[in-house]
Amino acid sequence: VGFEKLLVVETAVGLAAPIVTRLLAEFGADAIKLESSKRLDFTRTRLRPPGMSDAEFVNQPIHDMGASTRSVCVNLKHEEGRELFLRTLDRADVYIENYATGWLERLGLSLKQIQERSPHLIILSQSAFGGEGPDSNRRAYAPIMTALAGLDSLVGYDDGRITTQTALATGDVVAAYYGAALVLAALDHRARTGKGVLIDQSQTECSAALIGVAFAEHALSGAAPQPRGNTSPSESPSGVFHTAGADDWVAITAWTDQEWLDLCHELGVAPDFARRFSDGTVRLEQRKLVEREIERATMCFRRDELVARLTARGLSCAPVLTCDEFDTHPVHTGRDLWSDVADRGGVAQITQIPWRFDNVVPRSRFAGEPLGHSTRAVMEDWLGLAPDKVERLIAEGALV
Amino acid sequence: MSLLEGLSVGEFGAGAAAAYCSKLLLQLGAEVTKLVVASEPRDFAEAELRRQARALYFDHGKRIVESGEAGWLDRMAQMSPDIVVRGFEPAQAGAAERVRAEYAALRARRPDTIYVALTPFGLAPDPELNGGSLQAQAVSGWMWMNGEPAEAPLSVAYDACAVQHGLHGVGAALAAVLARGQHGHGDLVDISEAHVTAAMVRNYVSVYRWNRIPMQRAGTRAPGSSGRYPHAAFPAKDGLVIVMARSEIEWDRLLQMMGDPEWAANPRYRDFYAMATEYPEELDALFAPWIAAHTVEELVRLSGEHGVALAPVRSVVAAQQDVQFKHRDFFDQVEIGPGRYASLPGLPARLTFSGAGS
Repeated sequence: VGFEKLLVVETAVGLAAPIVTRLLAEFGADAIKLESSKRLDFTRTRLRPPGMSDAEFVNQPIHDMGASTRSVCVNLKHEEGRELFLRTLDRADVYIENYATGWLERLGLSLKQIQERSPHLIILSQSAFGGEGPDSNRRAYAPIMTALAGLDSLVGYDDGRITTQTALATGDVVAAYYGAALVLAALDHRARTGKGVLIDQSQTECSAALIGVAFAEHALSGAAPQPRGNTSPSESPSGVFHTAGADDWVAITAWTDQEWLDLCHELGVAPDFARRFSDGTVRLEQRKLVEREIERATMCFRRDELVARLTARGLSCAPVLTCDEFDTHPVHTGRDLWSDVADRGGVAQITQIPWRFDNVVPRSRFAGEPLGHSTRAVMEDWLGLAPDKVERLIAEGALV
Repeated sequence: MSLLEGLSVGEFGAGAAAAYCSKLLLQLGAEVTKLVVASEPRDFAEAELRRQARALYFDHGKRIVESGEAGWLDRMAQMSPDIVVRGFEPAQAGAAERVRAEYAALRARRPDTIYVALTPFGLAPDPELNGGSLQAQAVSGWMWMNGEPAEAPLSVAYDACAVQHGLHGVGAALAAVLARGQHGHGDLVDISEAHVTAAMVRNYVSVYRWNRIPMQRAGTRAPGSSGRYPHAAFPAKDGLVIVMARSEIEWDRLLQMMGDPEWAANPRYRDFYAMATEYPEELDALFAPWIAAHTVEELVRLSGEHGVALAPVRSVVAAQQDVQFKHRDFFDQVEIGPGRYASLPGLPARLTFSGAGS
């Protein structure tokens, strides 16, 4: 995209904020993560599973979150370390942080002070609940945030059983991309006005924004939204249907009455049944009966055979891919969504930012760096420090 | 003051992704015009409620202009917005050719038009699949991780995945706006819901793979507790709660909250990887009854006192009463009738402009 002149500084841990940094870096920005051996990002401290050898030890999360970002050690508890931190912010265009609310104040600083010192700066402060308010000091993991936002209560079966979606920390990734959108909007604002912005982002609010339609349904009907399984309020059949394999499933939707008739034909559903439910409203009224009959038919086919058959007819049908097969399926492999980067003699595969511009996908520039890999280079390039001064600051504990 | 003052956006097409994409651009300060093809109310009550709810959440504040399916492109070209947001759901055969033709027509009128195509499977290469959000979730790995092991994999309802798709459309559109400021060219932006969702899932799949945890839906528990017990929802006396402990310190806090039970002295309950992956059911038998004996309110209080990661699985109705949301004035109040207001999620951030108030 061409953000080559942009300088980005991050003091953050985990996934959500570092993905924003990584995204800007993969568009061309020079991005640095300030971190310290005194308090490691937990993505650097993941336990190695029992039996994993040195050769197998690729710290995948470091690459997914930290690719294309340079690692610089700065000890913020050291007076000179703090001064160097502020000097990097003087040079930066964007500052991204997500440490627990109040950490800057404990160092005698604040975001407000930083904004006043560097009014050109775009500051993204990301936290679980936002920087102000009764819960602002609470820490939380993503599944806690999605539970509080109401999202988890909507994941379950249509008999009302809630399963939640704890397997995937949706609240982190969603917050990452809201953060990216907010920073990009702020960059556009600065390009027109010359002024920076302090963005106080709440990850829990991001999760609630995903389900605004449920909030709207509640306002209109007065009823509390419930899990719907895989059913649609607007089309039937629409759902996930078992096929001949023990745990093989397909997702099918008939959007029109003609598609319903075509679906019945391809599945070998009795013509009388197809005609009886040829009207979409009647199918919605009798959804359970209709979808039971469709599943009786899908059970007679192998998954991939059925997908090919219905797709050839122009119908909406996709396999429910397992997590062992989805990233090697042709629907994904042609999009350059994953790329290999070297890691200590091994290879890590990084998930790319899933955006395409005129058929070009932003790519990771390099693997996540070992701790402090770029300390010397950044202190010399960004701040103009002489090499012997950098060595002294390292020896004195300011850059560790 | 708003971030995107002066930016114009035109929206056309089907699906929640495009509607949310332009809604978020509107929230950030852009002017949005939505071209719509007139449609009839639905006969089926649930379908009509969904239609109205989508219009309320996605379209409030947009300028709505009726346009025929045939005439929308001319109308959009006349408007010449900075960004055209184009939604396709379900994916239609030949969508890629249509997109290229539409992009060319719009650029003929305004060469730096940014065209954002939001499709279930992307434009290139030819996805060879038809479908909408449900089918996109199916191929993304998302569904495989959600639901009970002996039952159907689950999707996320209420357009949540499509909204994420629209969010990515906003980010990419704004990146294209900034790039346009440098090179003067308006990009064709291609964002696929299947790939947006797969990219999200893959961030976690890589962690599961690294931890050697089989990836299979496991009901209310993350597969293999994602490497640390507990990571699951448990039934309390009057509702579900999510409980997590991601470190030894957090496990100890959890035990303290439970009154340091005697069973915790067993060395089996200090082997964190095995607890998570080999015998979580054994721990459930010890842990779940204690949770079930308390109300959600009691558990929230205790977890606050002990620094335990625990939260109620709140309904949408309960979430609206959240004191933190209220403190931050997060919900927009939208009038839906005389004296009736809908509380709808607003922008998930507060902005303070340099040299000005918030």
